[in-house]
Amino acid sequence: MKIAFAVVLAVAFGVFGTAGFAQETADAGTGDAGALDGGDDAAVTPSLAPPVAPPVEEALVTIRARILGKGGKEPLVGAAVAFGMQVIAEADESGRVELALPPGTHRLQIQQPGYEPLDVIVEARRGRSMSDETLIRLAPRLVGQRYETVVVPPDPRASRLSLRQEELTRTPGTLGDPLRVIEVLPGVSQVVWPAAIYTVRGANPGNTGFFLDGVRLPSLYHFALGPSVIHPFFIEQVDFYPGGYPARYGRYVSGIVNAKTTQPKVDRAHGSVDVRLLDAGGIVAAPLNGGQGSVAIAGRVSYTGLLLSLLSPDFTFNYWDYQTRFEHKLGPGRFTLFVFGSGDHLGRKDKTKQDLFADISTHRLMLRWVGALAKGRAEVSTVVGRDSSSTFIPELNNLPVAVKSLVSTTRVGYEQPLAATLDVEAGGDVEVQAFDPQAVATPLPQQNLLTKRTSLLSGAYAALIYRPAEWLSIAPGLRYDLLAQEGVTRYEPGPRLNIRARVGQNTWLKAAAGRFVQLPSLPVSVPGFENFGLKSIGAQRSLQGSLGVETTLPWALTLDMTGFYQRLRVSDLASIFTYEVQTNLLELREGRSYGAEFLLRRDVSKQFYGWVSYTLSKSERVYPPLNTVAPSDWDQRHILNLVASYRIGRGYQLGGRVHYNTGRPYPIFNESSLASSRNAGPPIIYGKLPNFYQFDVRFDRRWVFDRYTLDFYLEIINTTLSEQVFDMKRRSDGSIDRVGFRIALPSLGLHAEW
Amino acid sequence: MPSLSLRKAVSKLKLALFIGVIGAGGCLPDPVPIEGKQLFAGRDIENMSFIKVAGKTHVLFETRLSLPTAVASGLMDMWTVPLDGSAPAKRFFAGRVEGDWGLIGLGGDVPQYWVARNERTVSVAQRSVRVTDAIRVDVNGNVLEQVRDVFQFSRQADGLVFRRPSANGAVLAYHYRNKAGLERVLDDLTGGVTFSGAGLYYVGGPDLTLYWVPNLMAPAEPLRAGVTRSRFLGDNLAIMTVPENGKPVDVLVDLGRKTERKLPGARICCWLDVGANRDIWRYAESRNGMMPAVYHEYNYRTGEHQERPLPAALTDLIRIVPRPNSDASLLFDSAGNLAIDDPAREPRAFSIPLRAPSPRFSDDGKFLLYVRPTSQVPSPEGPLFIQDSDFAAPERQVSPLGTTLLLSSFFTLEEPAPPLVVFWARFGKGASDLYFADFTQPMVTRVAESIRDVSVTRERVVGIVRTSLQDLVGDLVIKDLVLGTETIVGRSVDSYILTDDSKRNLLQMVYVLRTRKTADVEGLWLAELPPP
Repeated sequence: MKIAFAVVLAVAFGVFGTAGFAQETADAGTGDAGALDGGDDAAVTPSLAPPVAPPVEEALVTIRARILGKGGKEPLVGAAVAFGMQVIAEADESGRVELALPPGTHRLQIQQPGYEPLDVIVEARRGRSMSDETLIRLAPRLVGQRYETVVVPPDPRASRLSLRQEELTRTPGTLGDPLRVIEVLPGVSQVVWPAAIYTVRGANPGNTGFFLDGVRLPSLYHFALGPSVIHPFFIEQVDFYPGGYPARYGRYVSGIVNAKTTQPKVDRAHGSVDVRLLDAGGIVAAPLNGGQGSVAIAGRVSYTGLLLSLLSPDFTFNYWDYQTRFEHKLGPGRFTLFVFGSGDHLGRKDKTKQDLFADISTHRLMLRWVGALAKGRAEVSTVVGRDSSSTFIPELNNLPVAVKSLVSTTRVGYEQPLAATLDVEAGGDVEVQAFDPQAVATPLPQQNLLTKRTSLLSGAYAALIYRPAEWLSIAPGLRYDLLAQEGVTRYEPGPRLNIRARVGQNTWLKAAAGRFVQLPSLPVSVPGFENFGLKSIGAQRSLQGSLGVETTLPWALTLDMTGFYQRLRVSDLASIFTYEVQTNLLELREGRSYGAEFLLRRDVSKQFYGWVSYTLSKSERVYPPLNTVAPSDWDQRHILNLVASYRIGRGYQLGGRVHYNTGRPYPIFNESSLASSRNAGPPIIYGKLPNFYQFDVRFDRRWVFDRYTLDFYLEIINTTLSEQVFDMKRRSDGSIDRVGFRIALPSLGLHAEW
Repeated sequence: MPSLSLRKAVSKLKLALFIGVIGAGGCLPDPVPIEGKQLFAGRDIENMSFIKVAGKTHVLFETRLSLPTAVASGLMDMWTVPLDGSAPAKRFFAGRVEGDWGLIGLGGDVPQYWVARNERTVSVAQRSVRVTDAIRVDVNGNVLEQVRDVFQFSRQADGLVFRRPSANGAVLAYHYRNKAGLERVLDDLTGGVTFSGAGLYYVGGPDLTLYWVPNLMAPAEPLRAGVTRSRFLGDNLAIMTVPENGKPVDVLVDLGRKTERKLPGARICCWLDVGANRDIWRYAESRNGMMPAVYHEYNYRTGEHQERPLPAALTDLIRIVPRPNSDASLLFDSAGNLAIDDPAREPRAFSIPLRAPSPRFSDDGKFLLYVRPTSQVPSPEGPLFIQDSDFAAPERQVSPLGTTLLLSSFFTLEEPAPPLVVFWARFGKGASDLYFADFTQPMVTRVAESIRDVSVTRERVVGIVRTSLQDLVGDLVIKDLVLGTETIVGRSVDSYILTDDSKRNLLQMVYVLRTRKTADVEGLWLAELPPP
């Protein structure tokens, strides 16, 4: 029997813009507008007519169809075929569905969460061939409940903020970078916009750790504008712990950012290409072994050097990164091989001039297995890597220095529910890193960062999650870290405690406390310039406590308010004006920070989504030699972010961000005072950098074709051209000179995915 | 969902608070107590010095009221406090205008100062000009004299030279005001005013006439027209550059006899001042193209003249540094080239392979020390080298590898033997460390770390060390280099002055203690120690 389908997509009631996509879909997907040829004897005709009751026939006609999502070839597993109010069939794993209908014309509706429902008129005739199969494509929802609401359960082990989906890639002001979204979250201050240097809860920038699938990375960002070194495609979720992080993480005295990678889709080969104003990249992913595994390869190169050439005739600046991920089922779990790396280059175009350069590269190979073991879940991972940094930036160090390091990290973790009210988790990690600094020009002084050394960092942890009642969870944990370097060994306990108690219908009280430890750190994490100074400076430590409440409100809002207090001992820069690695540039200082964080957030699944975050904090240090308690160098008292995005319809989305922060303390003096051993120039005064605000806008347009989607976006950061002042000096006449820049960052991109 | 009773809620809250308190554990360290006597509590202290008031030592200092801006100068308050702390600090003048206005000390049993106050903007020749009132005040706060509408002033002889808008607002006229308060206008002054025993000289008027004012009330007497530069040599003699047939020539003028002699040389570029022989005027003549510059010596009493060409490497001649214990000299040109002028050699003058602005001979003349700049920002800096003055051996770097120093950051201590090179050098943009080095051996000793404002002898270092490059404060110490001991006089010290009380056999140091945040301990502190 010959079955013919003729489909024109219906406009979903109350949903904007679907018709446009439907038309394009028909054009692009079939080349035959208004008709999908599915067979000889059956026809499916779109209709807005009322449903026609199925006639009662003595013999049924079998109709086969395959239901895919538009914009790719993703089978819509579980897609429902409804006849009136009744679901009469569901698509299988390959998206196939088989219907037995009496001869005649029927109106059916295809439904799938996250997709526009599609009404089709089916004409069932006798004599249809059994092999005939009709392709039906559903258009993704582009407004309203585009996504099913993904509930990221609260982590009873620690208070965290989790970001997924469009919050990761479409947040205005972040250049579409999932790992830059943290800069608009509460508790986070950006030292100098637009550099990806963040302080969390009044600690130092180097006190926040960046992890990928639980494994520490020296840095997640490239230089300067700082896109992350991992392709956004790989990142499924970003968890941000501003403090009191779980015992499975360690060796950072402030917050933790953990990016979780995702398994590429295994139904078929996928790919995407990004072309942006600053860089271009792409990824291809394909299933292996009948969908039991997958492989994905991604890469990115920047051509900012070319753009910079227009602005600066002398300098060149580039970055690159690559990722290859292989994943396969292995026993009761999944095995992952992830190879990735990145590089940054800054230098002069004239190769003969070697008075300023920076070449930094990082390579990592990660093996990971996650799966069921006994009655629990086990995770084992090993990472080996090589970092290389070769820098000579006279403003930072007066000596060309190259550092190579080799690192190996192994992690094991196991968690298992012991009873209905009790879960247990345990594990450990060992990180060994060998550093080999080399002076390009002269013998190196054996000073902290320039010491040839091997560091051994290891930690073991155990944690419980006890739920004595449905409204209460208590999660004590203990971590014990071993720090060994240059003949010095330290054992550092890290007890943690997190408590969540429900005190209202949807209101939770949460409290956290813990002790955390870390080796000395620089404000900016540079591969090769890390894990140093245990002997000469000592370990950083923090005691953290927080108390907060979170609740849901009408209009799909959630409110989270947290107060925190941190007692710190951290490695501050002795002076923020000198970064000379040949000297003792760090000083271990006592300190504290305290404040309150506020987050009002509307769910990303809504047509209008976003959040308001506000942080009021005070960060203080005890300054030698008189133990003067004064604001730290990174103290930003008020930080406000308003982030909002609106899905207009027809694939359009508009978003904006307003950011405001107060200036941080800043000593102001004449540069000659630094150079001279006399009291030259006007005396120092203590001021503040000016407050900073910015307004960013982002516009997105998505086209969904049958087999691919195309995204265009335009983002302009700092549309108000606000001046970011990063330095203040006293002129020789004593007046104050502000050093800053007024730039707007336009970003234009095309993203094609199939 | 549990039922929410008040008791339960409170118990949960207690638990959470308990957790928070655990996290908040630990107190910050206590402040470090300060020894000594606080003479004044406050911050933004500047310009500290000792003065005698009625025979008693006081500390004169200022506190800042406001910073200068694009439209207004900064303001200061002036204070004194007895060094013995017998009386509280006294503010004797409020709102001194700083910047271009200066502070002129007049001395006296009760010291007096010329200061500026009440800055305001007036229009002169349709331009905005800031003027003040010049006030003569003593440290008891008595205003002794006031001069209104003053645009810059300086002390000349016993009086003031200043500018003031003319009555019609057309020009800023120069005025001279003597100690008795008598004033006269100096017509159209174009250059500086020179006082000599014979009166006052200045160049004024459109034809650049040199005027002589024998006394304040006498009319100005024109001496010579067309004077573009002049130098007074004493005994009523002056060297001047004047036009002759449209070209500048240098002449020696006897102001008393009103006679003049033309100096030899066609394109005299450079005046080098008098030499060891005070009667000899030294100058240089630059030539066109590749011709070497010419060095001249002219005895302005006898008229005797000598000249000789300089090495081709020198484009002109701006400075001569004699080599001790030798007739040789080091010659500098304006482009940084160097040459040796040595009568004992042939040729007498020859260029040397150095291009540095800082060479300095050792006291015995055997060595030449110099910094070879490797960076120019913010000021020229580089490693320190030593070279035997005869250039018989290669140079040797004295400063540690990787360090640099400013051009003038070294000197020598040569008596008693062995001679030492004292220098302060730094890594990158760090603070400078103080080093002693041997002249002949590659031995360098770091004597003090991160110094600031230190005085150095062979036996001791007094000053601020371990300076924070963020706060520009450090430890005020006395380091005994012989015994290897260090006495910390004060901490968090911004600046200091020292004197000694010979009667009590005490070294008295007054220092400014400054912290990052306003605190009671900030201010002026006195430390008294036995002299080292």
